[in-house]
Amino acid sequence: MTHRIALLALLLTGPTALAAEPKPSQADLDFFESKIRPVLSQHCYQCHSAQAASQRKLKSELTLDTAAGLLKGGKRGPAIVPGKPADSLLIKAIRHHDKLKMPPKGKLGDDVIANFERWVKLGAPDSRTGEALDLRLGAPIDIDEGKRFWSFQPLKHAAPPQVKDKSWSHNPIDRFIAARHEAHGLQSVGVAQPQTLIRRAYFDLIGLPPTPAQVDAFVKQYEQDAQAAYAQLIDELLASPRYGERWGRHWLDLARFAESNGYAFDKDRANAYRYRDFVIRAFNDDMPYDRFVRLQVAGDLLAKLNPTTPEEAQAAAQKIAATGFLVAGPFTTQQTQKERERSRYEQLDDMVHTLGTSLLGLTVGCARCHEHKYDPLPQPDYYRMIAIFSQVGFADVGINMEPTKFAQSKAAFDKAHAPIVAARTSFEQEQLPVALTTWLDNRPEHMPAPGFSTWQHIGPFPAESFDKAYDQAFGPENQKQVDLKKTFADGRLKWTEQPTWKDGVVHNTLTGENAANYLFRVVESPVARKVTLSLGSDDAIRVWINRKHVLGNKIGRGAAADQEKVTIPLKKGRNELLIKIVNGGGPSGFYFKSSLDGTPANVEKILQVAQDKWDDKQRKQVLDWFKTTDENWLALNTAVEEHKKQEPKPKLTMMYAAKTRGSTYNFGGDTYKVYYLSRGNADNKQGEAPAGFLQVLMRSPNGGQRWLDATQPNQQKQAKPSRLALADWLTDTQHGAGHLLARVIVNRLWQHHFGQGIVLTPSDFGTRGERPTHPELLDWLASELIRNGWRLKPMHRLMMTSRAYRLGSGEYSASEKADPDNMLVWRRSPRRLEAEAIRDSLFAVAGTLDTTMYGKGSLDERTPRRSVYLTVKRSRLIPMLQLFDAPDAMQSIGKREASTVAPQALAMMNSPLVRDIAGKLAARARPDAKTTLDDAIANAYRIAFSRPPTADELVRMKGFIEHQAKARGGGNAEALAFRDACHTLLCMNEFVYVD
Amino acid sequence: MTDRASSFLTSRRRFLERAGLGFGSLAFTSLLHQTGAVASSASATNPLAAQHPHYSPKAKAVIWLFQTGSPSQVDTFDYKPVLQKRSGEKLNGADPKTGFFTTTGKCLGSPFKFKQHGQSGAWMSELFPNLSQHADDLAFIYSCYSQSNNHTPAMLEMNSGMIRQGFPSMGSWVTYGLGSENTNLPAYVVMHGTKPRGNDPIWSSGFLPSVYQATALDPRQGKPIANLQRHAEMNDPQQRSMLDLLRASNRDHLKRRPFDSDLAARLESFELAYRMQTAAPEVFDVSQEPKHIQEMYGLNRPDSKDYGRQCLIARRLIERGVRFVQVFPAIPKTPGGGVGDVPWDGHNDINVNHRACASTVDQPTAALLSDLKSRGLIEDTLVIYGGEFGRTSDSQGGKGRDHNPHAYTTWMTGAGVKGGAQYGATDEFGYKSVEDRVSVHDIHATVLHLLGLEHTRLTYRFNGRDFRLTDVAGNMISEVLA
Repeated sequence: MTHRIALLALLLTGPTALAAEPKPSQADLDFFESKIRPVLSQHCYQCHSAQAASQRKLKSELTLDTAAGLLKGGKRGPAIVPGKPADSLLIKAIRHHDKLKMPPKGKLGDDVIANFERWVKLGAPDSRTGEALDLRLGAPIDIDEGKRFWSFQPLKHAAPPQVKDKSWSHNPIDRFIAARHEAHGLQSVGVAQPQTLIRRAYFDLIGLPPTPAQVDAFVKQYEQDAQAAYAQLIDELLASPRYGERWGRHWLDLARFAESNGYAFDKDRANAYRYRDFVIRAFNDDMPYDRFVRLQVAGDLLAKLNPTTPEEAQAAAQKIAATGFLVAGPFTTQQTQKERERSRYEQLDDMVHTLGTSLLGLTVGCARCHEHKYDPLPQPDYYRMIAIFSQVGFADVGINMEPTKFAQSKAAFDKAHAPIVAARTSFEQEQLPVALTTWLDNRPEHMPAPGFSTWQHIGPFPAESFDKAYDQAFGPENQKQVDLKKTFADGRLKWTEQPTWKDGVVHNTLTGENAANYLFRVVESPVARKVTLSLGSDDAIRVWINRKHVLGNKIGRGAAADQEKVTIPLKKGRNELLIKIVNGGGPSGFYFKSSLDGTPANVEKILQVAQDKWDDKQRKQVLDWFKTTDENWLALNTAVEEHKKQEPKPKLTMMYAAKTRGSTYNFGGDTYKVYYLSRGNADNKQGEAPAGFLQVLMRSPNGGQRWLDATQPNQQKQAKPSRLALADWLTDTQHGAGHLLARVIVNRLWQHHFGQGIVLTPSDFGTRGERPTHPELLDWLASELIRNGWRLKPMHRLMMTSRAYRLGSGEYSASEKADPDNMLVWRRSPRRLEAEAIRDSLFAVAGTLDTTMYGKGSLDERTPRRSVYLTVKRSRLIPMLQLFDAPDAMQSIGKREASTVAPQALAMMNSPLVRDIAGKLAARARPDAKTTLDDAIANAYRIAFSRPPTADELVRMKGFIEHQAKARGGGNAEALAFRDACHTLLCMNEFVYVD
Repeated sequence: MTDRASSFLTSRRRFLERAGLGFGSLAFTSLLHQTGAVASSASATNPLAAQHPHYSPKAKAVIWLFQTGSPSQVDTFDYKPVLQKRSGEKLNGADPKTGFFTTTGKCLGSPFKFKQHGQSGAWMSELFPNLSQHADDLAFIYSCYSQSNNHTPAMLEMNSGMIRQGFPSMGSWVTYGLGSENTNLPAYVVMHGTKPRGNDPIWSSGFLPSVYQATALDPRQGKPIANLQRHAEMNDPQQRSMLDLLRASNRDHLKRRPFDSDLAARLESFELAYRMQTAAPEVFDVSQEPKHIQEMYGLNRPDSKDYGRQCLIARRLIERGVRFVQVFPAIPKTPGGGVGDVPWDGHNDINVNHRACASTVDQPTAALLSDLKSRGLIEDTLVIYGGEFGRTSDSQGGKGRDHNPHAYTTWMTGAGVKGGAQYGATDEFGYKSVEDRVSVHDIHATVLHLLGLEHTRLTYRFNGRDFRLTDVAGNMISEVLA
């Protein structure tokens, strides 16, 4: 086709023809098939094809496996310009003239290059069809390929390997370790001294130093039977309630636990500490880890919300508190409408990100805007995961912890309440119809208005309390008829006329605190009729008409119109209206207005018809209105309502927890829905996302349905709550994520016991994470955990009784050169204590540690309770803990830093707290004047370091004290010098580094 | 599956690479290992030791004057004659829900007079009689925008690139990337009056090791840094004796554990702490400055004495090698809608608010620039000035302006900055950035570049991901670079 014809075609057919390329001849296509396509396939597809993309090997976003891909090009622009070889990037690249040289491994043959030039000149005829890969949607991920990665594989059940030196191994762990030592020719150091072992075990398991007496007892036993003594030590420590406080804190790091919202204003979550308590209890009770996980993601759905026994209540409370895990992340209360949807997705991201890193060691959050760059986590997996939480909000959920006691008091109340209600019912059935008939019979055509006298006032009548002021019947209330001449309180209180008190305005002129005032007026009515009163009061109010109590409301408030409405019956002639206003504190007053619109329109309509023509419904309507105007019924009804106020209310224990359809960022109808978002942008929705799980962790023919469908006994499928399905999937060791879940947690245990994990990146088991140093050991430990019913305490025991755990730290070994980072566990690396352990140790050596467990915490770092009980307020982190690398509770932390900075040294040297502790340590070490300086120094060492000083150390300390005492001078010079010595002990490396 | 242990020999190197410390420090550390000098030199493992940047830096230090509450662009530096002319008329395309409250949709002309200044002819309002004398040194970026219309998220974005809490602030990133030039003082100092809305998390070190966290202080307080003072019951020689005892004991302990360099670092940290006791109070003692300098910074005026002191201390800090100083102005009077934690927040009356705030800010800011110049410090120091977003061109109420994430002005001056540059533009009402729009990531990329850091290479691995200050974005604004 010539250019002219092409142009003509364009003119004739319009813009649509633009897209239609001239159809290449068969000869040209043959040329492509024989000379071009094989070269592309052999030399280019490896890095530039859909398959390369699925294997994470795509380079420069360029695909050459479709015609469209060539034209679309990659990062540098189109690969070819048909017809113009000189302008085609692909041609430039294969010529190897410029910087860009393709293929990178070596230049193609000149004849091949010439073929490509000719092909482009021909207009790049191409028989391959198909769309160019849309990388915005992410390259397709090959899930099956992904499943081959080690951490997604099922556990391998390897038997502990055979080793040459059998005597070295104490338990199977050691055989895994020793096999690697032998393979790499590493020489391990000897087992640590008993003083070192007990200090290590104490800090590892309970985060506190042993007392000198505990050390002595252990060393003595150890000398007799090392194995037995050590095993017993581990058992004792695992049984200590301090264990849960220590290990619970490790978990709280992962859960980004905090007790406030964060962001502007950082609102407190007063009941968030219940989650912390749940965690500590779970560790102390050795709750199976799979259950621990299940409760944290779905405990509220498993809880019985209306428990009937204290045991059931405890169980429910624990389950609900556990879900504090899901909602521990930051939340901002100050939001503009525009930000809410985005913030909701952030909140869901926080939940899934935390869940992924803490439980599975996977950075699920990375698949939010695109396919995960490194792990086989496609973007839809991410949205299905957050969809699991689409209904989740937070709430302070209450559980009645004493249901039995409550049931008893409720029964007692019901018994007392029944006759009062019965009186009203019998009146309604027997007397009320009669009264209605009487009233109807005497109802005059014309209803003249009543006349109200001016107000009379008396008061205030003081009482001990607001309640008493309300309940107590003072003088005016006790009279058969109000006598305005009568005085009270020895004549100090008398009735006074208030001619200025107008109706329909608030009068804040009453006085007295915890006191009652009475207001009185006479109502003269020419006929028997009803009037409606609108009343207001500051604070409580009672109303009597002709001595009948027709209204009572014990309440605290400021007076305003229409707070109460009551229709009162007036008899013909004189009526007495008495009102009591009760004030708690501050100003006091009332509002009063009467109106004559006695009969509502709908009732009036019925009244036009004779009574015997009413149907039941009409009769009920009339009576329902009429009774509210009958003084006798009002009195009976008020009695019921007054008594009702004594009804016992359940005392609820409140927990900050996850709740289905609980509070969250509300932005309307889609608040509790999740959509697939293109590039993570809420303005670009791609359809609603159903709940689902990570494909790479599913070994089930029907995908996530295995867990999402609840199979009933009758084999009927029905959906179950997605969080329950999640709990099932996470802990499913056959088809779900259970094996990875087990690997991740045993690695965390190993990390805290040995200083570094078998996988060095404890929250990243993905392809970017480290590979396990001992893969078989990791799988063996994970299998052991599952075999032990997911209980963690047997795993602690297993790890700590290994020889590998008990190695010494000090000796030099030739292995240092080969493995300086001790990756293969041939020695013990000394470890800096965590912030909490340092602070707790200070109080422990001072002898002032308060071991009160659970309950509300404190923001005051001087509080001598364990640090785990200090309140975690995001904007006011505890300075001392922050200094020593405590997390900021914003994101899940699997591995804390152990930084060394000068402000830490300043705190140890200069903070009043440490100085005070030094004084207390000195007093403990030298309780009386009889204690020699030598003994005092030895005591101080034993308290602070769990060992006596060496001879050199003793000499040095004595030298210091002597010199310092001289420098200080004065009467208590030596005492001060000894305190300085103790203070120095607290600053020493040995105090914060454990061997 | 790769066998981790087969390559364990390289793990130390891998660690250093991960920490982003660069090749220079790696070579240094390796050398020490070879000579066995590790134990005697804490600096080998001191994460705060000065690091080599990615390339030759223009700036060594940063002073960031963070105008919290957000000044209005159209009342300060972004002159809009059309807005003046159409004051009271409908603002076409205005979204009354742009800000935190609701706006009227009617143009509000600036109550301030504008004039051109210097050779560059930059427009500046009458609020800045002193600063305007530096017009030719400033590079204005008129086209900034933010992601949030809410103070705390926007401040988080300005400091960390993210509107969520929990990510490291720029000062922490810079300290992580470059370390400290002065071992006696913190590398990253934040000075505040009333803490900005959002509190300490605004300058969080996020997931970076806490070594890189800010030392935040209120210079109005008597003892701005905690635990800096020795106990009253102890004098210097007595404390020195304790430290000597400590040193001897720690050395003994270290001798028995020769492989653990952390122990050596901790030993040194006490010596550093001891020196800080003297060095730090000295730097905060502005009374050491001559009277004319104090007065230049406005320390004799009630309006500007607190912010003036912040600026003067900022200079003293960078003079002593502190890397990154961020100032959250202490502004005593914030009428017209502002509050202590967001002083420039002129919701009710832009005129009275901005007059009061500028009365505090103008003189010390200008003094700081003059002072840095006369001492030659400006050659190595980058100064940044701006808020967390801008304000609406239509009015809130009648005299106020609401938050506006679509447009605001930031200026830079000092090391590596092209004085007199004017980059980007808003529409004719100053309502939205339209030309060469600049995101916070772009600002960050530019600042890092001036410090010799390539923003895509300054990374930290956390929970399996390599994080950057600029996340997945950021373009350097080369037009404002000298």
